[in-house]
Amino acid sequence: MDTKQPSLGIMVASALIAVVLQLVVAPLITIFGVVPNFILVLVIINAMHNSPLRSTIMGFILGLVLDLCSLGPIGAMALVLTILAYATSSLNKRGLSGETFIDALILLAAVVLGEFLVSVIYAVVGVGPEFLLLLVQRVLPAIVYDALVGFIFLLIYSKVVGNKHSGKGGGTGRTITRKLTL
Amino acid sequence: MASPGQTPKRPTGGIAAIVLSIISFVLITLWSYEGGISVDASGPLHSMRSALSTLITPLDYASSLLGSSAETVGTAVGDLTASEETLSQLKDHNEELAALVMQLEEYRLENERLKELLELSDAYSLESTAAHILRPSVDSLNQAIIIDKGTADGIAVGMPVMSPNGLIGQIESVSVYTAQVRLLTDPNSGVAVFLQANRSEGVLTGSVDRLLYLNYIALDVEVVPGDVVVSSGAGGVYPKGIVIGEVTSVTSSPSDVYQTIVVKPSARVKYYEEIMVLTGRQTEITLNSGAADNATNASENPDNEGPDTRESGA
Repeated sequence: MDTKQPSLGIMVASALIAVVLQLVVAPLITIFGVVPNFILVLVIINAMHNSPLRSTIMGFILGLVLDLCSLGPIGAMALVLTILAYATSSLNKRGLSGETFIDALILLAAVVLGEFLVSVIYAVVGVGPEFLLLLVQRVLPAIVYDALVGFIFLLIYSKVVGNKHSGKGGGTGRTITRKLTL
Repeated sequence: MASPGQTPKRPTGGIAAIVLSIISFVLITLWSYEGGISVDASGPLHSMRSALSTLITPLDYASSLLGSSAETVGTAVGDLTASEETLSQLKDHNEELAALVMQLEEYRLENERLKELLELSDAYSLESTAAHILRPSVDSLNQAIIIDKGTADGIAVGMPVMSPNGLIGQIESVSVYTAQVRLLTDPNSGVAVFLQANRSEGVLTGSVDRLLYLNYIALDVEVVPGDVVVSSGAGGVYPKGIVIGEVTSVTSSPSDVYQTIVVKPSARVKYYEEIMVLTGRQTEITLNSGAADNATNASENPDNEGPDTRESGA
């Protein structure tokens, strides 16, 4: 079971980076109107290395920031990121994450669930277009984009935080991540 | 698994997750209760959104700067590659000149665009404020842009926004120095329009695929690709007689009540360029040119009774 986690400073820095990337960079790298969700990706990756309490709070706050910066329902992304951060962090706590491949699968599942849940909330609240159209033309491309961005950040995060906590260079496998988070 | 005699420990964060989820639910409910995406929406959450928009204004400008710089660098890289091949000895000098020319060209184009906007504003007798587009939306589910004018410049929620080619949207959220514009192509946008050719009224709505759909045009109305779609002014949000786009496809089946009409917007939103916010409310158009004439005639035609064509949401 994971008992050690990156410092609060790293977590806050990750949160700030996520906000800046989302507000400054993401709007500039849209592909056919699909904007990558850096906040979703970084919340999930942080949750793989942090306690459920920290991860949940981070998910809620960053979700709320994203809600307030967009024109959609306020609380939608906060709800989704709260749930996903808690679920991901709980998996980590039970030792299910750690291997890069497993982390990538968890990230992919979280991205799929996250984008889907947000579109469901939009549909339920009544501010979204036809749901199936939304799924095909926005949610699916967004999942692919988020997943690609997520895999890159997963590797970067493992390297940066991994080295810092393990005291050794390189590696993203179970051994290093275990040392990081146990 | 807990050993005998030990109470299973509740996962840390579980209570926090439940509490924060409930808070999120309450926020969504409150947001809907305040009016959601309606231009009349107001309340603590919408005010909070405006306040945060003011706080993140520097990031909006940073995004705009980064975007325009990326464009400039892209152009410069192309120019420099050509210069090295042909004028290698004058490379440094050429760099300076190229940068200067690009800057001057940018000023010239900006001047032309602003002149176009001013002429358009004069032609329609509209009070307006010119603004620059800072960046697009931060999420995939809303088609919006951020502009560099806010309440400090007299911008308010609900004001229509135009480019030199026509309508592009409406102000939905405003902070002190910036405002968010929901584009016409957003699925939550709607504008009352009529067809220039036959004066049939309908409602133009956006969609996820960034096209506009003209609704409520009956099967017996003849519509052909190329027909111009003009704002009707019904609903009191958008001015009357402004060209919005042209019909690109018309389909229908006998079981349908209305035709499916796809409209290509005439206004193209180019980031980092100028747009115009119409600050004067609902001024009558005095243009004598084709589209405006037809628009005015259509609105004056007593036989032309269309469906409820009030403009919606944003």
